[in-house]
This record gives sequence, structure tokens and C-alpha cells, in this order.
Amino acid sequence: MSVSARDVQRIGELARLHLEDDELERLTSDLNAILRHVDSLRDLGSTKRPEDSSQIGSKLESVSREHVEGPDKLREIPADFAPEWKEGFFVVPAPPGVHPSGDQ
Amino acid sequence: MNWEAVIGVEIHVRLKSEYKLFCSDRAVFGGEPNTHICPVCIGLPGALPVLNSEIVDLALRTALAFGCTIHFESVWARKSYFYPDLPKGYQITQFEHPLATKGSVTFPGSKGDTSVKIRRVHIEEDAGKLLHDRVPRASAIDLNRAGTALVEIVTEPDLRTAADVRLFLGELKQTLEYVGASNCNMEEGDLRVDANVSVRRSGSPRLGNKTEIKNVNSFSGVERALSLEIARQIATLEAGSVVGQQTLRWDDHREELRKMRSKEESHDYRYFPEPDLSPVRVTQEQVTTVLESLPELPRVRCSRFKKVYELRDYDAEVLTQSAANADYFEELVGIHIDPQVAAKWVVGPLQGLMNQRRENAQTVPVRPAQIAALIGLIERGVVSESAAKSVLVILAQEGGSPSDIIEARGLMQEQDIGQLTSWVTEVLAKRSEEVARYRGGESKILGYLVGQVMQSSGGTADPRLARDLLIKQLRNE
Amino acid sequence: MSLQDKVLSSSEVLNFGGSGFRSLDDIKELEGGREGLNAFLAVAEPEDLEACGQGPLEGVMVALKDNICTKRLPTTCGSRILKGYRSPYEATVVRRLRRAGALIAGKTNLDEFGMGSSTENSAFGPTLNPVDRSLVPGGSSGGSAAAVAAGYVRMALGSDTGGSVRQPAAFCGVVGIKPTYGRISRYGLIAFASSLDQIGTIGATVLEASLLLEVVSGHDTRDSTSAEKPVPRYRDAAVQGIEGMVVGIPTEYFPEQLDPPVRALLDDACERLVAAGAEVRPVSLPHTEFAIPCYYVLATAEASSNLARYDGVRFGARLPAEGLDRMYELTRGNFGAEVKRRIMLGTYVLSSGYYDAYYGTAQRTRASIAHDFTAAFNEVDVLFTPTSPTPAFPLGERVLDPVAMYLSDVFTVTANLAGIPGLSVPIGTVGGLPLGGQLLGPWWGESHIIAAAGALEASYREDT
Repeated sequence: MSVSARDVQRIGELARLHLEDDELERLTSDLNAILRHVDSLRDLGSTKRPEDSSQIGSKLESVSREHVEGPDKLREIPADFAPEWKEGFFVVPAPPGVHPSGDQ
Repeated sequence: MNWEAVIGVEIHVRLKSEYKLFCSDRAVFGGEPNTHICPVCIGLPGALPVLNSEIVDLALRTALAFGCTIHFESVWARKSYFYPDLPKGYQITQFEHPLATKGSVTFPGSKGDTSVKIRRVHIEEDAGKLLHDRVPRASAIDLNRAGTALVEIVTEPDLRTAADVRLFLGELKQTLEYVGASNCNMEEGDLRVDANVSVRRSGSPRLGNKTEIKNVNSFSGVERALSLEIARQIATLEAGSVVGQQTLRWDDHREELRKMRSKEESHDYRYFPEPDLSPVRVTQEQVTTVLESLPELPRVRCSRFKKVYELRDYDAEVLTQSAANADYFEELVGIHIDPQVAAKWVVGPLQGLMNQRRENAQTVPVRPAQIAALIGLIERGVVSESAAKSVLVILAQEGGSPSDIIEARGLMQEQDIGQLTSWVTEVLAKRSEEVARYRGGESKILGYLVGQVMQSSGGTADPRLARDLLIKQLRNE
Repeated sequence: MSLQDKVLSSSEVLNFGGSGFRSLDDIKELEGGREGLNAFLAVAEPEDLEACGQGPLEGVMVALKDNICTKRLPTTCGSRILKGYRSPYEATVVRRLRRAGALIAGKTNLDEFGMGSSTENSAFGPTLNPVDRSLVPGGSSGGSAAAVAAGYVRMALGSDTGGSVRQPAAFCGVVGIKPTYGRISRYGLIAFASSLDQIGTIGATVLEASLLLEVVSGHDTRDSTSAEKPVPRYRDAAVQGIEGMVVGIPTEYFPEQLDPPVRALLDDACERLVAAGAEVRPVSLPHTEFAIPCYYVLATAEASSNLARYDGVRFGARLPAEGLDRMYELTRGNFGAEVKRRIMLGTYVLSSGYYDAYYGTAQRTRASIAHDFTAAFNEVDVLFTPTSPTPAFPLGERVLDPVAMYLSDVFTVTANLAGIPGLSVPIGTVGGLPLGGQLLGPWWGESHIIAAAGALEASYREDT
């Protein structure tokens, strides 16, 4: 399979990555080079094993906890690492179509 | 031409868990914003989810209450999309392998008992809240809710009218409360409903194009939204147009449906198995234990009440609307109170008292033994029914035993003929107009006169004796 | 007792010999000078060295790859998007290190988010190979491997998603261990590809890498994928010998194209294993050729999802912009070219219509590769292979050719796909450049590969 610049543009939107024109061009050719290599996998399709139990975690015991009070609380308030923090809230630009009504 | 709507719903239910799904934060509604957060539920780099096993039991209760098949292994998946209230850029949910499938709910629909098939029940984490009225020209995020546990219940498109959807949701809510899976507090968003609806010619096997109505958090809202949408689709079809597939958002204030932007709905969620969590493994023993701990479900209990206790439909339905009321009733019956009498007290005076005090049958301070004692005193003629209702109020306020209260307040029923005769004479003298009407053949007026005697006696007169005396005096004169 | 004394005394206890250790000041001076390797992104100040416990690493300086969360030092993942980020919590391994008495010397350079095989993809400049500064140190744990090889520290932690501990250890001439998936808690390790990521240890010797492994291993209730398995005394395994051990040589790992001098060193290593008492026999791992494409589908799929949280909303660097969508795109535009490439590939293989063809097939291939190993370990105790087809390559050589760069992981990704432990140990030099031999073991078979590596190391030591 190969991808076009338009496909790459669409994937970029899905991944919320801003791509400059030159990046777009380069990524299209890189992705196609990688996909050519990856396509060898698809030849394997016919010899695939019946089971699909490859989730590596399935080799491990199921781990869960009985609502223990873990000591992983935040010791610092988010203000210390948040890009924007006001009055106890994380703050972001409004999503499209939303018109914030907060005054002050 | 007749049209028929085909409706399926998805209900997100917040489970009654003390802790969040994958971290040790408390699942608390309200409070100061961003005070119940930790590295895991706000998706800090390096943080990892660990399943809180209490939640699997709550989800099992839900699935088993609807008769679902439980899958002994269910797999977590990531559902990816970007939104500021979704900390990790993906939601941990179950996709290809849900906890449970294939259940059903029967509810009293507008055309009698109606069955809806449940397609699946799965567990997932909730997002935080995005608020647009807290800071100027920007949006504020509170992540207290992020990571709290939900189950999503998905039905087959078996519903046909907006009214039935509402009745179905009522049944569903009652069941969830009954089995203790959720508090079902609508104001707090414990139940959120998405519905998809299409319209076709009645009897046609083909499905029309469907639209999806998102995120409604009241049952009346669901009914109104669906009625509007069904009408719109019929009008569209009758005008010879085609219904476009689209997603609509219900605006509860304006009572209207608004189309979501195409970008909002064109999600490609890129589901894949969550590598940070092993599958949820449930054993047959676990299922058996949960099944055994499930209470009798409302509809089953209601029909049993009718059959075993020979209750009227109305009493049985009202009693089984909440498990606590039904339990209270059965406790009364258990201490040898006649079922009819017990039902009358729970549905009547006790319910009145609970409404007044904003309490339920579990929290109301008057316990079944006290009401049983009170009923015993009525049956022995010690206290009148009307006086007993006052005793009930006093019991709730002050506690103690009914007989002590009756004695201390002089509420014993008066059976002394001399005393009763003087009250009767007094009433007849004062109410000459009613006396005349009675004698003129209006015998119904007798009840009014008995009431007057009861009033004169401060509720203590024995009403049967008072009635007998009244008739005697009215005839003698 | 001063810190300095403490460090001295414990290194003596460990019998590390006279190869020396460095103080924080030494590290700063070396890194700050013209000869600096850029191995460290942050070096601790003396006041950052928290009071530590009394354990097997008392007073020992350990460097951490900068994708392991620390509270005292920034954690950047080699990315502009986390520049200056200070984690409000610390990784389980950091807690374990301090409990064992270790001192955190600093944070080491890496390919951004662990994505690379040369440490050239760091937003903060490449790390140089201390053996030859014109060469890459390997990656992505290049900073950790270089710091150990240069003698700044005797031990360091890295992370290994497709070879990121073993390959730089090989390129720098030190020992690197990637244990079984689930052996070391990943809590606080910034995820690249969750089902493949595993913290690994790098040491100047097999003993040091094994001792560090022993200290940081073990179950952690904060990581659902960490195993409830007792931790053996790996330091004892390092000297226990390999009498009677059966070593498999997978034919697929010795292709025709291997350079003759490389092959000669590998043959020599096999002879040394035999001399130490092992039996060597050929085995086959038939699905090996699909490992690289399989790895790049699964690793990028998981990475595209793991890196979605870098959205400028709750932490990290945000680029200001009008409107939410623009803010997302500009902020995430801050990722480097390789990270973008992998997010794009991962997003593509998971997107509607392609999932089965790519992700689904890759999952099945992964099962086949794991099955190959299970079958092989029914016959042999460990496997011996090259760690990388070549020794360290020149800086800049493969930056523009992603596929060539990916292919340099050909012998290491299989261990991550199968979840098994792998170790790289120096087996001599080609043209003055160190070459690594890789030992692979069955699930929880760390002790076997450590024993084999210890025997090899002892054999080379006898040469000198």
C-alpha cells in the first residue's frame, strides 16, 4: 500500500500534528519507503497462525487492586507544571464553536 | 401511510464506586475543582493505570441484573480522540471484547409488557469537565471526574416510540438502583443517554437512515428530543427527501436539536487493545457470588407481592418502586402484620412522613417494629386511626414506644358511652342544618357528622361507637 | 563521613577495582569541557542527592536515562515538548535505587522519547561515542551507555523498546541487560510503546549491570504488567559458570552479509563458550525476517497513542495560539522529525480501514515470533547472536534514511516482541571499535544469560 500527500495530510489532522509543506512531502516519501518494507508482513498473512493471543500482558497474571490508598498523590499543585492555571482550573483556548461566557 | 420509528439507546451509567477506575483517587462529585486528581487520572507522563477490582463487581451486578452473558475474559481498548477534558488523548474502554453481551429488559410499555434486547455492557472511564463560564475568553478544565468508572449499556434497536424509551429508561434506572450499581442521580449526570433513531414504513423490514442524538441527561429530555426528531424525519420523508446521517446534540434549555459540526462527528477512534492492562478475568465463582447477592428485581418482586400478598396493582407497584420500601413492607409482614394493612401504612402515612422529612425507608427513624406496635394498638381499639397518624409523627420526632406516647398525651381512644354521648349531643346541637339534611334522606352526611365528633374529641373518640350513637340519636328524635 | 568517602568505601566494598569513579564535579567538568560527550542532560547538584538507604548500592552514583521520572531533576525525554518539565512524582525504580543507597548522578541523553538507534534524535544535540567521538554511541539509551563507557558512572539505567539498551551498550563497549517484560516496574518510565518498553541496566561489567538489575527488579502494585515473581540474586549468577549449559546459535542471526571480521569475533566468542563448559548447537527462528516490519507497526501504533497526551493542556510546553485546534497543532508540531514520522505511521496503521491489514497482521506475526523462541528454548538454555550487524557508525550516516536506521535493530527487536530477556556483552573489537554479543534467554531466564555473559567476560579478561 502507498500513501498520497493527501492521505498524509489527513493522518496529520487525525494526529493533530502541524506539518509544513516540505515536511508533508518528506513524510509522504518516508512513509511510503517504510510501508514498502512493512508490506512484507502482509505476505505472511497466508501463513498466519490461528491464535491471536499475542498480547504480551496475557503472559502475566491479571493485576488489580482493592481500592488501596496509593501514595501517588500529587504533592505539588498543578500550577507548578500546568501551562496555564487559573483559580484551580487548567485553562485552554475554547474549542471551535464554543463561546466562553466567563467575565471579570 | 403509517410510519414507525426504530430506536436504540446507549446509556452511560456512573457506578457507585468509592474510588476511580484505574487509580486510588476518590470518585467524588462536586467539590473544589482539580482536588481529586493524581498522575494517573490526569495522564502525566509515565503514569500507569491499575484496575480497581471493586468496579468489576459493580459492573457484573449491572450485567447480571439484565440477564447478560458474562465473558470470562474481556479486553481493555484505547479509544483515541483529542479533547481538553480527555487527559491521555484516549479513553480506556472495552471494544471488541466487552464484559458482557446479550441481555434483555422487560418493562411496562405503552402497549403492555415490552422487551428490549441488551447488546452489550462494558466498563469505561469517564472524562473530566470542560467549563466555559469560569475564566474570561477561555475554557476551564476540572479533572475531578476524569477516570471515574462508567458502564455503557447498549440496546438493540428494539424501541418504537419516544414514550416507550422513557418508560424503558425508568425501568433501567430502577433496576440499577435496586442492585446497588449506581446512585442514578440525574442532576449529577450519573445517567447519560445517547439515542439513535430512524423511521420506516410500518411493517417494512428495511431500516431507514439513522441519526444520533448525543448526551441527554434527563429522561424527559430524551423523550422530547426523540419526538422532535421522529417528527422531523417523517416530515422529511413525506416531502420526498432523504434523511441524512448525522449527529445531533440536544439543547435542554432551548428544547431543540442542533447539528454537530462535521469535524466533531467524523471521528476515527483508532481502537486497539490497551497494552498497559491485562484482560479482565472473571471466574464462574465470582459470577455465582454476584448472582446470589443480587436482590429480587422490581418487576419480579411486584408480581410476587400481587400473588403472595394479594395486594392491589397500585400498592404492589408503589411498594416495589424502591427496594427500601419493599423491604420495609416485608419486614412488617414478617412481624405478623396483615399484608393489606401493612401496604396501606407504607404507601400511605409512612410515605407521607418520608416525603415530609425527605427521607427514605432506610433512613426514616420510625422502624417497622414501632409501626407494628402502633397497628396492634389500633386493632385492639386503644387508639383511633387518626390519632395513630399523629403518634407516627411524634415517633419520628421523639422516638420511644407508641403506647407510652399515647398514654403520655392522652390519645387513648374514648369508649366511655357517657363521654361519647355528650360529644354527640354537642355536635347535633351545633349542626342543625346537617341534621335536617340527614333526616331529609341525605344519609351520606353521616360521615361528616362522625368527623365532627372526632374533632370535638381531639381524635380520641372510637369512631364506630360514635357512629352508632349518632344514628341512635338521629333516629330517636 | 563525607559523600566522597561514602562513594569510595562502597566502591571498594564492591571491589570495582581502580578504574575509578567520578564525583559530580568531575562529571560537570568533563561534560562542560570541549571534550564533553553530551551524555548528560542534567547533572545533580550535591543538594539533590537525597539521604539514601543502606543497601547494596550505598553511595554508588547511578545515571538515569531522561525518560525516567525524577522529582529533583527535570525529565525531558530529549524533547522540546518537555523542556524543563519537572515530574511531580518519581518512578518506582528511582525509589528502589534510593532505598538501596544509590545516588542519582544525573539524567542522560536519549533519542527523543526513545525513538532512534543513535541518540541523534535528541532535541538537545547528539551524544558522542567515547570510544570515537566521530561515531554515534547507539541509541536510544546512548547517553547512559556513553556515561558508563566514559567512566563518569559505573552504572546507569536505560530503557529498551527494540534494543535501546543492548545496542548502545554494544557500540560503547559496556554491558547492557534488557530483562523479561514485567521484571522491572514501568511506573514513571515515560512510555514509547507500552507492550515493548522495559527498563534495562547498563554497567561497566556484567556484575555491575546484574547488581543494578537485582536492585530495581520486582513487583510493583502501580504497574499492572509488573510480575509477582521473586527476584533472584543476579550478582551471584554473574560468577556461577556455565558448565553443561546448552547455547543455541540461530542461523537467521548470522546472515551472509555479515562482515567477515564481525563473523570471526562471533565465532571466537562461541569457542570461548565451549571452552567454559557449554555445548553449542544451531537452531532456527524462522519468523525473524518479519521482526522489523512487525516491530515498526506495533511500536508506532502504541507510540501514536502514548504521545497523544502531549497536547499542551495539562503539563509541558504549550505554543500559544488562537483557538484550541491551532494550539494542539502548533504545540505538537514541536515534536522532532523522527517522532512525527512514527506518530504518523502509527496513526495510519490504526486508522479506519487499515487496522486489520497492519496492526492485526503484526499482532499475529508477533505471536509467531514468540512461538519461535518458545520452541527454541525447549532445546537450548540460551541463544547467542550478534547484538547489531555492525559496530558503531558515523554520526549523520543514517539520519536521512529511516529504513536503514530501523534495520540496525534487526537482531534486538525480537526480544522485545517475544518479551524475553536479552543482554549485550563486549566480545572484542573490529577496527578498534567494540562489538557486542547478544545472549537471549527464556521468560524469567535472566540468570542464564547473566551466567553466560559472566563466563565470556571472564574469558576475555584472562586474555589481558
